[in-house]
Amino acid sequence: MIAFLVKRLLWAMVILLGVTMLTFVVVYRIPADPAAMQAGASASPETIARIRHRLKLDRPVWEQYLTFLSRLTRGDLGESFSERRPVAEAIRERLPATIQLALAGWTAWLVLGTLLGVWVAARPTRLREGALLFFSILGVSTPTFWIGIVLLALFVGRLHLLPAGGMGTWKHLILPVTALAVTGVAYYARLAHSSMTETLRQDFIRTATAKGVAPRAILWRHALRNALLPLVTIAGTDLAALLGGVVFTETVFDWKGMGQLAVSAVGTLDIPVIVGVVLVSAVFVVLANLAVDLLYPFLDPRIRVEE
Amino acid sequence: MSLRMHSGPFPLAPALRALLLAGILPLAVGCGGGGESTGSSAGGAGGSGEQVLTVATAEVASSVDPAMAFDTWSTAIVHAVTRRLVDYDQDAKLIPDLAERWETSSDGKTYTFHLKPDAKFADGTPIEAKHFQSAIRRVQDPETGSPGADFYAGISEVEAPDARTLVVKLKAPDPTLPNVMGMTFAAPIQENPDPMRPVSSGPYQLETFEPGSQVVLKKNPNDTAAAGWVDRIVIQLKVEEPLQMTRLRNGEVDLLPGIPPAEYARVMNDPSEKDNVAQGVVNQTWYFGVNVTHAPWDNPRVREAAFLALNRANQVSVAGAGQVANAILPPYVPAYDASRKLPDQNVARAKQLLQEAGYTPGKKSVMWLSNSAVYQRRAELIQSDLAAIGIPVELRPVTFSEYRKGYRNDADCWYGGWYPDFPDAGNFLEPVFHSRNIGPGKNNAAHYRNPQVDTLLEKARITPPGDERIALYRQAEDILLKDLPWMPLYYEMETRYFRDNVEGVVVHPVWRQMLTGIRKQ
Repeated sequence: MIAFLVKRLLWAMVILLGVTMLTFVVVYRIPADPAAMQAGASASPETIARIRHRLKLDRPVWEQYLTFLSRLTRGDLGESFSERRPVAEAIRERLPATIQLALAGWTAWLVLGTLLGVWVAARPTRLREGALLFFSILGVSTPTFWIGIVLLALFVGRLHLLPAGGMGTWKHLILPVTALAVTGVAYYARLAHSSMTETLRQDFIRTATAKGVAPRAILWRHALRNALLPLVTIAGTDLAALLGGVVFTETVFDWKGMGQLAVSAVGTLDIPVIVGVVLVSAVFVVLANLAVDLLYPFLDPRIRVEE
Repeated sequence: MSLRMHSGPFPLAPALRALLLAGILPLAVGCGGGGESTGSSAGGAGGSGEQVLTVATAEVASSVDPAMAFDTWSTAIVHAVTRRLVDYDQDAKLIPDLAERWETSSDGKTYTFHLKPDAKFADGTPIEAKHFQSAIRRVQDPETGSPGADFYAGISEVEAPDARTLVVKLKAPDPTLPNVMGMTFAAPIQENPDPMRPVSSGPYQLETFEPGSQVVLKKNPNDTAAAGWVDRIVIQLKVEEPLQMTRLRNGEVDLLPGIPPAEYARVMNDPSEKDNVAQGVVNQTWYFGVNVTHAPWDNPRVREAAFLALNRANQVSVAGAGQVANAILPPYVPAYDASRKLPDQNVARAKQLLQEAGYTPGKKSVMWLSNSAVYQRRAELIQSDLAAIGIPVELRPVTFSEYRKGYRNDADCWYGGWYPDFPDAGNFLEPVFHSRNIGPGKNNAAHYRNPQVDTLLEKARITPPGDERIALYRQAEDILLKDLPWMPLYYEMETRYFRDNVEGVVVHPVWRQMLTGIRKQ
């Protein structure tokens, strides 16, 4: 188990290193000049050169990358070009908001989606299955930001029930989470439904039924555990993806999270912030995958963590 | 000498915004009627009876450091928390502020500013000449990396012989030095300040600055000019347009820097909204620029024909607001000549001119533009106007940063907007029409080379403000309007939208976005 963990963590380092390297290559290949963006539209070539020098963009990319790495070992992500403060500070400031929104949304996906899917699978009628299919296709194909805007127009613009975006109270959380939930719940319900239907057809369920196990116990104790397996993998990476910044939802609802930070960093070519946000998101993905692998044996004793 | 495309700083955001507006505005329109939930404005901490003005914008403010602030909102904030030696009135006329008066030496190379006796920083420290000295030295210092460094590059020495006298020595005569001293870069600073927490010298002081989220200003009690103005100003940053409107209707926001395009017509056509809107022309010319070294634009008659083919009024109606341009210089520079009149669209005459020029359609001319929907529509109008007389043009919409590089790099033609850094014809014309500024990445993208214009511009530059200087710039503009390396289209007009109880909102021709002078009932 320990050896497995060490091995995985070492791999994680390699992956993260690769991610930072790729991000560097990509952002430096963009045919635009961050120094020119900082300099303002009228700047002379001399001013741009001066700013490029101050931002150390006049050094070769590999040198900038090595500087980045050496600072990173001290937990320093560099300084934001546009905000002129440590990137780590900007991310630390925005991470709690993203975590709050991501966790709330993700919980809604998982709980509501699973319940809905399992319910339809356990008590299937044509109407329910049809409705579920309709709802999931609609939910998955409707863009989150559009749902967000509709919610805003309805609950804020017309009914004046909830605040118009922003953060602060639990009321601020309702609309963004709802917007976020529609797609996720639709997707998870569909997933839980097919996984559950599949599981309920298997031999061990028939055996349990034949042995006279109560239907409720079959459903919740035997079937659900098996049916959840594929969901766990997806839920893990989804949570990680959400933690990396809920880009559209944060933008629409003026939620001061990492997604909003990332969007504005891309807009102003704030390279240290872009690299920082990508790195933090990658850390979440790597950790989530690790957590999923560690969780499997508890859900399915047949799976053993390989030594 | 800047160009600006109001595409917003985020390439992603306009696209998203367009989608949002297209998708939902039918729903949002008419939902309003003003939900009177007057409640305290977001973030407006403070005691009872305090007046808080909340402003929302989709943009960011990157810095409140006077040496660094250069984007719209950073400049507006620094403008509100500082005073400078000089200021501008509502007609863009230069007026004394912290300087009582100033003199120029006979060779035009030394300026002596005499400071007002009792001006103070918000902390009570008297504002002295050395504080201006610090500011200029800091902007000039290459280590600072100030985007304003160029403006102060002509200053060889700044001296403070006594607390109330500031002597600025120049390498060469420059009659625009007072304008340069009026820019926010030259606002007085105290020694060793925390650059992000400047001590206020103006009507407001900085309370909190959260980049990308919100900025809060509170009134400086030492500044008597601010009496009656709102006590606090909360600037919400990065709020998308649909949300801005919703917040305004809910009473969470009092003032918006513009009306979202999808709502523009409705608001402007609603008589009951008349008192909620302020509009004004600003110093910015939108134009169609051509490279006079590339065919077919190398032929002056083709350029004249092309100008006659353009419908400038259509440009204004597509833009929503604006004023048809009858000159290259915008209305608020001293050399602007309001009596100029350029010919209106005349397709028949344009075709005739083309025939006389012996024009035969060749390769398509590539027209650069920034890739947001608003510019696309205006550029398409030019494309179809020119197609009507047989000049084929192909649009090249690219991201704003690519555009800025691309059109200055031997492009055929482009859709541009240009504004001066301060109200001066030389500051506007020289970078874009002097032959010295031809070259990759340089501002004379038209590759316009006319020794006569060069001479006039050089002569005007060192001529002191007054009729002679104005006459020289007008002569230069006469030639430019004959040669037409730029075909002026219209002047930018900005719009503010605010709630019933807000007063004193103006579009300032120089400062544009102004946070000062606003009252609330």
